[in-house]
Amino acid sequence: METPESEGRFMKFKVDEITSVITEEIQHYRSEVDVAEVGKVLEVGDGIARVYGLGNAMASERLEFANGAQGQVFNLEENSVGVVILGDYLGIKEGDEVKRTGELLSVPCGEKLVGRVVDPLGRPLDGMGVIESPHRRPLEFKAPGIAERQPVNQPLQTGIKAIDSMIPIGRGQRELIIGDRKTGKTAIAIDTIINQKGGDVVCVYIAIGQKESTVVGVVEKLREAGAMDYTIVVSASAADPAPLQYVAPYSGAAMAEYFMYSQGRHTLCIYDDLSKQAQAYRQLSLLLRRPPGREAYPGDVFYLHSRLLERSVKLRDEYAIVPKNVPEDSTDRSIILKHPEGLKAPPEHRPDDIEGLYHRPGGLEHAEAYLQTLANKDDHRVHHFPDSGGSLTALPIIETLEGEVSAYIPTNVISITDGQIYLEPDLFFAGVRPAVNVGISVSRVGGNAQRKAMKKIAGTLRLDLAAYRELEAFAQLGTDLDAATQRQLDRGQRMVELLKQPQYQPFHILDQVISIFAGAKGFLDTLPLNKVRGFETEMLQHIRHEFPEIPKEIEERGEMSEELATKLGEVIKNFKDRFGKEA
Amino acid sequence: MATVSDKELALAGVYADSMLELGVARDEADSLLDELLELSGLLTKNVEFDAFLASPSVDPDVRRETIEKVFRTRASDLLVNSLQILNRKGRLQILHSVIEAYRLAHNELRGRIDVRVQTAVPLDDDHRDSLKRIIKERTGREGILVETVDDRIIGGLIVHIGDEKLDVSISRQLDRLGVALNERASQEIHSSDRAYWSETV
Repeated sequence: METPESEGRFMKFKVDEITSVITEEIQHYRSEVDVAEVGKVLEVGDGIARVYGLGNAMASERLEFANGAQGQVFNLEENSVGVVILGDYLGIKEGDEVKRTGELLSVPCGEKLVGRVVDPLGRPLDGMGVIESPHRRPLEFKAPGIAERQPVNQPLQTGIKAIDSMIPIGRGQRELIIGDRKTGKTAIAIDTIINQKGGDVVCVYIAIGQKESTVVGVVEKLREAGAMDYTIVVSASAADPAPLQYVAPYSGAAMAEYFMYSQGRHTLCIYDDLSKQAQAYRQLSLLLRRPPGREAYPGDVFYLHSRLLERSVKLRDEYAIVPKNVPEDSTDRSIILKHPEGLKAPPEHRPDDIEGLYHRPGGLEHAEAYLQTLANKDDHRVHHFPDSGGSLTALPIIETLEGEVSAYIPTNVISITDGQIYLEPDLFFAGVRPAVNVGISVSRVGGNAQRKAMKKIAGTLRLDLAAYRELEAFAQLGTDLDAATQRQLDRGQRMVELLKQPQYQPFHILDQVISIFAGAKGFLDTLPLNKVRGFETEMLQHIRHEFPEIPKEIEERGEMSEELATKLGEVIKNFKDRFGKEA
Repeated sequence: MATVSDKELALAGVYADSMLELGVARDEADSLLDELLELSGLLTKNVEFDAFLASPSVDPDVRRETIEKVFRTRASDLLVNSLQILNRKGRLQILHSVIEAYRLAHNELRGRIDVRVQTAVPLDDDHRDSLKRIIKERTGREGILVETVDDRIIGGLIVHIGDEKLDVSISRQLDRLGVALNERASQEIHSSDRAYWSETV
């Protein structure tokens, strides 16, 4: 909010103006009987409280403490209730009153949150003023069922060559980023956010249990890159009580869901990191005497993560026949013109459900076909509901200890997500950054969410790199190798070099395609290893300036035709000759 | 309400419920309540006897004999037998909770309910009658009023019936008014920022 001081002038507050508002408010005030169900605090501390009474309280209900803090009902016991306190528990004392609200926890959401740094309850942390948003969403939300979903089919470009080529991520997918500390997990997340600039994705970065200084660093980097224009940062730092750290990922998901469900937009949620959320949940459960299981985690720690990650979804696109005058942005489904035979209509016109909606693959064509058969077809049109077709992509982050991916929490989350990106310290220290082990990293959605152009040239990339890794040992032996093996080694080394990229510099997908094309076709094979990156940068610049029609064609057609490939090959060859002379 | 621990109350309820059942069967439920309340008063005054009953370092057999000697001729068999059972089970230290649990169970049986009332000035009989009438309408039970006077609520009253709290005090209305004013003012200032600011000279 702009304060007058920020404009460099001094402003005087007009007291009479606000006095009239206050007088009006007092006049309109009507006293009411305050009826509430209350209990009394028996014990409080470490973020939890036990409350006597509240016989009608329900599980997960929101409670209000006398000092204004909110709580959530965690345990229902014979004469008391175990409560998790979201807020300042230092101001609560024994004997304080606790009120039932009859509601579940919810957070504010909406456009006003974008660009802000907030706590898990939606309160601002960036000192940029109060957030007044009319929209709220519940923290816990049942993930959409099978009928409401669509298979993932659109790419979410991270801007990182190693990922977009061999471990591509689609919109609506859950891809785990897993690795030891200091291997670049957060770096991948930030680069992905930065790469969404100019796109249509709303990003939510959720920092759980991190150092405040680290979060500040992330926010500043995002601001510098102009990413805060489309990003919300939710922070529950290491200094925040465990309940806030527990609730933070659900908060972030709720804020993203607003954009997905009411505006059909694409969203990205990064949970950094879920290991710390599990630890916070363990703390709460142990303090509230829930029986500990493996590694002292409570029995429902799997559900903690599965219900969060199931909320990542690719929603189906919904089409229907509506009267022509219905506005483009209408979400009113009551004015649909239904096929009179409903689900018994002939297959080429058949709607996909009893409401008359078309949402399966091919549904759009069926709707169009049906429209053509209507007598009054000129009075109608096929409408795409703008609140459908959105997505929520999740990039959860898990920190492993000493590479132990078979520990409890990592195995849990691995079994939930649609793929993993493994980051290894050995690669990191060998200079391969991002330190992605492409051999064991996987994306179960894979090629379905990849542009054809990229799919084609990256097709053999992984196999080449795998073969290279096998031969790497020989290179170190220093023995004489046959020509074919030597070629494979050279190619592999250069591809690894090519896949390195500096932080905060995501690559546009078209640049990636051209770059990997150059490598895969062998144009780099004769370059000295330390010249590869320089060559790449200059080559891309050269093509952008001198031959912009090449990337343009790839963009428009979605793939590279044989002719274009030949042409590109020529261009690169010529550039290389020049480069060779200058070098 | 929370003077006895909630966990103890659960345990005490087990004993209190069976005592009440027997009391009802023998038509002694009301007299047992009176006896228990008298006993409670006695133990509050006579701290050493209270400690004697509650202490785990006293030999249970010695305690058994003492209870027989002191109470058998002066109290109902039901009361003395109950005390002996509690002693045998080593539960005499929750005796106060048992008495409280019995009182609550008895209330329930007789259609009564504890009601705490806070007022700024003492209630008069008209007030009490109206209040009892309202309680009867709301809960179908007879209210047993426990009154406190607290002038911090300024006026009106606060009534606790079971888990429910009905607040018609002036202090609460002032709080609510304060919150409403704050919110409205904040809304105004943040929305139409210009109208409230003028240039200084």
